[in-house]
Amino acid sequence: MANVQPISSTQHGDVKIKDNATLAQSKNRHFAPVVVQEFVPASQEFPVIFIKDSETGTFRSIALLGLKPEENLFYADDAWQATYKPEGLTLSPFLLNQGEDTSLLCIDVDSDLINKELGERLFDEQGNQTEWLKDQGEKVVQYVEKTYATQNFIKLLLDNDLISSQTLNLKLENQEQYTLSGLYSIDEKKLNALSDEAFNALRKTGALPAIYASLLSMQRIHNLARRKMAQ
Amino acid sequence: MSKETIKHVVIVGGGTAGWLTAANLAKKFNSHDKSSIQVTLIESPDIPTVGVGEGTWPTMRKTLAKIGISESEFLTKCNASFKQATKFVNWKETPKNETSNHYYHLFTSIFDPADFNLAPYWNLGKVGQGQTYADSVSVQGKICELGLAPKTILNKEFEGVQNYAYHLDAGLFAKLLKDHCVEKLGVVHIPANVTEVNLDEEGYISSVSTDVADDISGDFFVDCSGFRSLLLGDALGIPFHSISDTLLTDHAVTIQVPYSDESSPIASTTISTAQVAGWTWDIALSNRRGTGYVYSSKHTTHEAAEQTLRDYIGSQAEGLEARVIKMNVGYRDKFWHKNCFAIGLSAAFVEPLEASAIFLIEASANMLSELMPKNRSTMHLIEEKVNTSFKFRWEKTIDFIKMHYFLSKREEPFWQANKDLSTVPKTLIDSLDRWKDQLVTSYDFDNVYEPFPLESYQYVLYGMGFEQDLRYSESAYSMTDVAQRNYSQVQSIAQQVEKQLPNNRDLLNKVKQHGFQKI
Repeated sequence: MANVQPISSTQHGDVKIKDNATLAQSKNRHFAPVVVQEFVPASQEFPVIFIKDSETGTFRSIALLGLKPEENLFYADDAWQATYKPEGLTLSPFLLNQGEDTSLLCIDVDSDLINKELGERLFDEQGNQTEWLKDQGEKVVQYVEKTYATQNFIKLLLDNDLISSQTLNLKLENQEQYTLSGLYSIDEKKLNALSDEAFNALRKTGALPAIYASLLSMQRIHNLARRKMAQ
Repeated sequence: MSKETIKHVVIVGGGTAGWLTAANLAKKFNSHDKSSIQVTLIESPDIPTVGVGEGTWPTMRKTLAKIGISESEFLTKCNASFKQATKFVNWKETPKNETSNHYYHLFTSIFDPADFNLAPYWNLGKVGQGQTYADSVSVQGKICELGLAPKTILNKEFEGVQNYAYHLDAGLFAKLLKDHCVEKLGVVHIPANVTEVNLDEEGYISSVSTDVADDISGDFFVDCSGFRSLLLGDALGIPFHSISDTLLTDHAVTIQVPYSDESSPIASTTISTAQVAGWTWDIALSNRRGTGYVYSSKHTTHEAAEQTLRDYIGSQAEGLEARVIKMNVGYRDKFWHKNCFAIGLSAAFVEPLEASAIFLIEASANMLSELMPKNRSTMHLIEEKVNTSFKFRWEKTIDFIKMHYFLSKREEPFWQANKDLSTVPKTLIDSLDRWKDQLVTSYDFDNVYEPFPLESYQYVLYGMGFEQDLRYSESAYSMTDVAQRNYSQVQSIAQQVEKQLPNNRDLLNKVKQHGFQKI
C-alpha cells in the first residue's frame, strides 16, 4: 500500500527525487494505466485494452506489459525496454489527493525514488517550491484531467456495447501455456455492426482513432511473446 | 367471438404478481408496437399490497435479465440482497441444552447429481464422514456461515461465482416493475378500483367497470387481485380448495427490524427457525431485516405468537410494530377459467417456507406469455394445459413443504399434529416409503414442471436426518474413486472461494456505489 502524504516544505524540505528512467515501480506489474490521449502512441508497442478495477469493478484502460500476473516484460535494471513510456508511470512518486474543493499534491513516501542525495529537490533553501516541483504538479493535474476524458471515453464504449470480455491464450514454443483472463477488448464485430447514425456520433466525439488504436494494438501481443521468448 | 384475435390483455391488480406478469407479457408481445397485443394494468390506489413475499428463487435473475431490468438498479432500488440458501434451524429436533441444530437447503452443488450422484457414497460413509451432506457436495453452506456474498464486484450483472437468488422489498420491487412497465415496455397503467366484472353471454369476462374510467374491455384478463380473487373467485365462481388439513399454519405476525448499525452483517441466506407452533423467517435486505412468525392459531395465541417473534429478534424488537396477517392456505380448483388466468395470491397461497410465491408467479407469467392463444377457439385447450400444470406444481410444492414438517423429530403438539398421518398427502407418504431404501432419482421428477429439483429433496431429506438405508445395495455403488475425487474437489474449491468472495455487506455497499458492469 502506498503511504501518501501531502507535500509540505516542513516535512519534505530536504527531499530529493531520483530520476526514474526504468519506471522502477512497475517492475512487478503486468499492466500500466493509460489515458485515452495516449492510446495511439502506446498502441505501437503494447496491447491497449481494458480491465476491471479489482476494488470497484469499473473499467480502466491499460497497456498490457506481461503475459502473467506480476510479469513486466519491459522492465530492465538499466532502462525501460520500450520507446513509449505510459504517462501515468512517469509521474511517480507524485499523485493528486482530490478533496471536494481543493486538491493536494502528494507523494508516496514509500517510493524508492525518494532520498536526500540524488535527483531533483522539491524545495529550495528558502522553502519555496522549485520550478521542477511546480512542473511535476502541473503534469499530475493535467494527467488527472485526462483520466476524466478517459472515463467518458470508456462510458461511450459501454453505452455503445463495444467491449467484450476476452481470454488471452498463448502457447509459446517450448513453454507453458499462458492464460490471462479478466481482459476486455474492443469488439470488432460489434463496431462494424453499428448503425451509420451511431458510428457517425462516435466519429464526432473524436473517439475513433483511440478505438482503432486499441483494436489494432491486439497484435502487439506478439511483441510481448517475442520479448518473452528472448528472455 | 371465437374467431376474434386477442389484442388486449387486462391485468387486475398491481403488486409483484400484477407487475411481473405485465412486464413478462409486454416484453414478449413487444407491446410498444401498437399492432401487437396491448397490456393494461388496473391497480387500486386504495388497497395496499400484501408485500411479504420477499424471497425469490434463482430464476429471478433470468426473469430480470429478460424483461430488461439491470441487476445493479434492482439491487439498489429494491434494497435487495443476495440469497444463497435457506438455513433451517432447529427443524430437525427441539434444541437440547441450548444447542441448536441446523441444515442448509442450498442453490449450488458443485457436481450435477444427474451426472454423478454423491449421495449414496455419503450415505454409506465412503466420503465426507462426520460431515453434513450439504458440506460434502457444496461449498455454499460454508460461504453462508462466513457471511460471504455469492459473487464479486468483478462479476458482471446476473453472473455468480455461486448460484444465487434475492431477498427484496416487495413494495419497492412492485414500484420498480411498474416504472419499467410504463416507461419502457408500453404497459398502460390505470389507477382505479374495479367495481364490477362484466360477463358476456358465454360466461367470458368482457369488461370491468371501475370507479374512475369507463368500462375497460379486454380479450383476456389476468386476476392479480390478491386474496380477494375478484375475477376468478368472485365473478367466475371458481371455488377455493383449502389445504388447511395438510399445512396447519394459518397466521403470520411480522416485524421489520432495522440494522443496529451500518456494519451489522447481512446474512445471504434466509433463516427459517422452527418454533413451538410454527416457524420464523428472517430475511436480510440491504437496509433492514424482514422477520415473521408463521403459526397455527390452534396451537398458540396471537399474543404468545407475537412474543415468540419478539423473543427471536431479541432486545432490538423493543418498540417495533408487529402486524398480523391471516393466511388462507390452499388453491383455486382451477387457475384458468374461460378467458381469465389468476396469478399470485388470487390463485393460491402456501406458507413461504420455500419461497415459492414469487417463483410460481414467474412460472405463471412465463407460461401465459408463451401460450397466449390467438383467439377463443383454442383457449379451452390451453386452459386445460395450464390448469393441469399448475395443479401439479402446487401439489408438489405442498408435498415438499409438508415433508419438512413430517420429517421433524420435534415433539410439541403442533409438530405432533403435523405428523398425524391423516394430515399427510398420500403422494408424500408413498415417496418417503420408497426413499427409505432407495435413492431419490430422476424418475421421481418425470414432469418438466417440477417446482423443486432432485437436489432440493436431497438437501432437505439428508438435512432433516431422514433415515435412508442403502446397505442392501451397497455393492452397486462401486465408483468410490470417482466419489472421492469429486468430494476432494469440492473441498479444494471451498478453500479457493472462501478467499475469493467478499463479505456480503461490503459487496452490497460497492454495488450501490459502482454497480456491476453489464459485461
